Amino acid sequence: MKHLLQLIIILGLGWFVQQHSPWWTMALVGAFAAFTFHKRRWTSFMIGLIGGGILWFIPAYLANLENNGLLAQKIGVLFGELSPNLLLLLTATIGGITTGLGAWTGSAGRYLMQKTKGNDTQPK
Amino acid sequence: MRRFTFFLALVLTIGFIVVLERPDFVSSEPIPRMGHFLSPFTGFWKNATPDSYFPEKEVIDNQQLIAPVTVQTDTLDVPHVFAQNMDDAMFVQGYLTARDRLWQMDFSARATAGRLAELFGPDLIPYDTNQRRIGFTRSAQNAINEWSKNAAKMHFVERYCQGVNAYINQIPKGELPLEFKLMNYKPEQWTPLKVALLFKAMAKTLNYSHDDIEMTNLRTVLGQKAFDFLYPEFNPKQKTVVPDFGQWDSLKVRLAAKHPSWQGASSIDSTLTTALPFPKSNPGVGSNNWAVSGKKTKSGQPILCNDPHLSLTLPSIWYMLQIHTPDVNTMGVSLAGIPGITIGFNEDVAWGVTNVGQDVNDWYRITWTNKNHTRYLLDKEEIPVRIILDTILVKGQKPVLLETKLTNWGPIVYDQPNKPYSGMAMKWLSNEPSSTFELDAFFGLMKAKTYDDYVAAAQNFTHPAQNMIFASNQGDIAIRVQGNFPIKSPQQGRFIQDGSSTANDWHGFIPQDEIPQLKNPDRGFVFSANQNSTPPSYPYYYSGGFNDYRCRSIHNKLSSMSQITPKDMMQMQNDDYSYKAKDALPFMLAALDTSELQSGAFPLIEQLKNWDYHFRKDRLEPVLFTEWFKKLKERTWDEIAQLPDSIAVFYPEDWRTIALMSDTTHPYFDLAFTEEVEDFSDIATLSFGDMMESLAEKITSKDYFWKDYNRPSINHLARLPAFSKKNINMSGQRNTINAINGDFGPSWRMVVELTKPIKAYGLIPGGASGNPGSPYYDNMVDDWANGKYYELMFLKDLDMTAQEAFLKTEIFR
Repeated sequence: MKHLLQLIIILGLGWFVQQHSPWWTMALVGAFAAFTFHKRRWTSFMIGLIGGGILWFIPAYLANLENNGLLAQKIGVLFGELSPNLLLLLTATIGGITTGLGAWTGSAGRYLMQKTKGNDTQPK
Repeated sequence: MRRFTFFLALVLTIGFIVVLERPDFVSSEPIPRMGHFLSPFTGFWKNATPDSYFPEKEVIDNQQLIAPVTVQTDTLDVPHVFAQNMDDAMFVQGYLTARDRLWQMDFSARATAGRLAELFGPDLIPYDTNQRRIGFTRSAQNAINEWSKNAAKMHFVERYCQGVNAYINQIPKGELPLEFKLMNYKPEQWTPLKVALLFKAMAKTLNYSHDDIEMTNLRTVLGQKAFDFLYPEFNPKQKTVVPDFGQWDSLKVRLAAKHPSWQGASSIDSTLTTALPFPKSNPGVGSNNWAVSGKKTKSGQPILCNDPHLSLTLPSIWYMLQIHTPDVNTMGVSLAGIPGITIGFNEDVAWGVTNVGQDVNDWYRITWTNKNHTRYLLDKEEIPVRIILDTILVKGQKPVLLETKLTNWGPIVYDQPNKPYSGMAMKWLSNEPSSTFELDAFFGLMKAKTYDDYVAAAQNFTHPAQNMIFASNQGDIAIRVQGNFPIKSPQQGRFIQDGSSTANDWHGFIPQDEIPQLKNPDRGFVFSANQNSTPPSYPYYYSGGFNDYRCRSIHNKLSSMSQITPKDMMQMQNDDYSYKAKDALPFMLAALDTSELQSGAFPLIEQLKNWDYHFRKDRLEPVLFTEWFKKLKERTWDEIAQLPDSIAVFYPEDWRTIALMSDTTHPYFDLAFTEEVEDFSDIATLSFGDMMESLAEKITSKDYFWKDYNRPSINHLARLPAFSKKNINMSGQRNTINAINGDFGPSWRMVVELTKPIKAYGLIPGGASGNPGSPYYDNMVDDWANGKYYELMFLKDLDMTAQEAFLKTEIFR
């Protein structure tokens, strides 16, 4: 359940933040969510990867759909014969990895703080 | 361990972001910031315009307008601007053009100013250097100084710029044009200087060409007699823009009495000039226009047509729109970045332009008097050059300091000793200070109602000279060879001149009422196609580069036509008949010695014998002829081809080569390197063999045609193939009315019937939008290639009822 909540936070906060700030703030969104929810680093990374991936994939997918793939096809040619689908995947991957790496850092940061506070329990 | 993990995660995260965000750390190429570029919130996905959805009605606020402006965008994506005054209309024209074409405008202005190295790195330094040495920014600033004297009209330019900037300053997040994201830079504010820069760029395209070095070399190598024989200045087969019907008789007498000195030859340099290849204007630049009077049309009203041939680019050079105010209702095409309508019509008149090929770019050899080349001789006095200091910013490198020497004649454009024109000064008309507000010609035409209005407006247009054509619904048709033309002595400006004497300067300008012009001729039509302005009997001397064939096509067609409809005119604009082929091919075929040819040649000869001289896209004959003629020239002019590469020359013109064909034993047909004496028959036969060899299997492949040889294409302005249209399937050649020549061709086709109300048809080889992600980026290309036209929606008034006829309606307030 908390996994899902962390994912929703990434999607909701990410959506809001991305309207107004640079693309790389996805890393901060991932870090914030992971720090707050305090999960295993690997789990946090995965949730970030999935959350960031979905958040970047859906608007790109819709834009591509409404545009009939016109621009994605041209950009694909420009980048060396990538298909529009591959571009969508690449988009989701970059969104995902940025968020995932941020989440990993956030989660690792939380561990670090716990250690300095002397509280060394493994999160569930 | 935890600390290590945290720092590892942090470093990886930051590293990942930095690599994607700062590509300049990794590469000096202008590559996009990939995270930014792929993000659906900021990147290219934002430029993927939905292909069906448009807002019904939108209000755009804070627009610094006197009164609200309504813009209706028709189904071609062409905007119709309804303003309460021209002031607001200009503002909104700027806004709309920027919204559709901002990258194109910004890029073109930077390129003209010689500011590309700062974006793309050191490779562009030579390009920037040349632009700055010519002095585009300097001469654009000079133009602004003159324009500013006409405060009322200059205000239109300022309002246009404010409109552009209003858009730039409120670009919604993520909606920066795609190319900025790709090449990773931002647009600059638009200014009157940039408007002037684009105007100068257009001038360079149209009137910069010069053959001074080649002509000087040829005359020196060949001697005066052979030179005059091979390089005559006038082709008698041409149909000039304005014929001699005695209108210059009194002028001739007057000039001879008043200025006998102009009749003498000027001092001409005859030192051989070494020259390496350097870029020259493409001969594909050209245009057609014609107007027929009511007595030749079905409707009884004039029809005016224009198709300017320019480098075909995406985004299109032209931006279509209608401008409607209580006093003015006009429609046509504007140049993206320049206010007003350049070619178009209003409710009463229509106008169009083609380029005048007269040479207004002359080169002077400077006599230096010191080692540093900072002082030179002028009228026996030593004069210092003016030194202009300039800084070229370079991406990833230290700035380059540039020194340009300005002489009394103009700039020293090339200073490296191994460059052509090294140490020579350039005097180019469009580099001289403006004497008028050139754009006022178009502001005037937009509201012209009569022939007199047209003449008054046209006179503001001093350069680049245009054959400005006109028709009105009162039944007038007219054409003016419009511009400032330097008065020259015979042959002056054709060769490099001695720059140490001001006697070699231009002798003023031809008065406007003495420029060639024609109104309502008996034949019932006026026309131009980049041919000579006048026959040699015109009392003022000029030289230049002129097209020999399209004028004959147009003249002969219009002469024989009657009951003309707009549809006939559209067909005519798409005509692909070649007078060059008709002139040359019968001679070439008759001269062939078939006993010397291999058997594979015979079917080709049969094909050519049956050819009707039409350059059709799906025929082989145009390929055979074009290649054969090319090889024939190389064989014929071997005397010229064998000159050392260090001496820049060119072959005699094609019409001169063809004229020689009837003199079959002329010594020029003898190959210099053989013992035997060849004649035209030998040359024709040998070059036929050359042609077969060079085309080789293309001839027998059965799927190689004219379109594959000509390869019509429309390139993206930054030459990105993914955003270009390549290998378009279409007919025509540069000497046919439909002047398709690789990536040059009709950049706008317009047919206007001056009925009441006016009926107009037209299209551009592109679309309204400059965004490669928009369905309106190249939506007109296929119809353009197929010779189809759209009836232009020329609205009498704002139409709020028929919403389905529009993509969107916007209110600016």
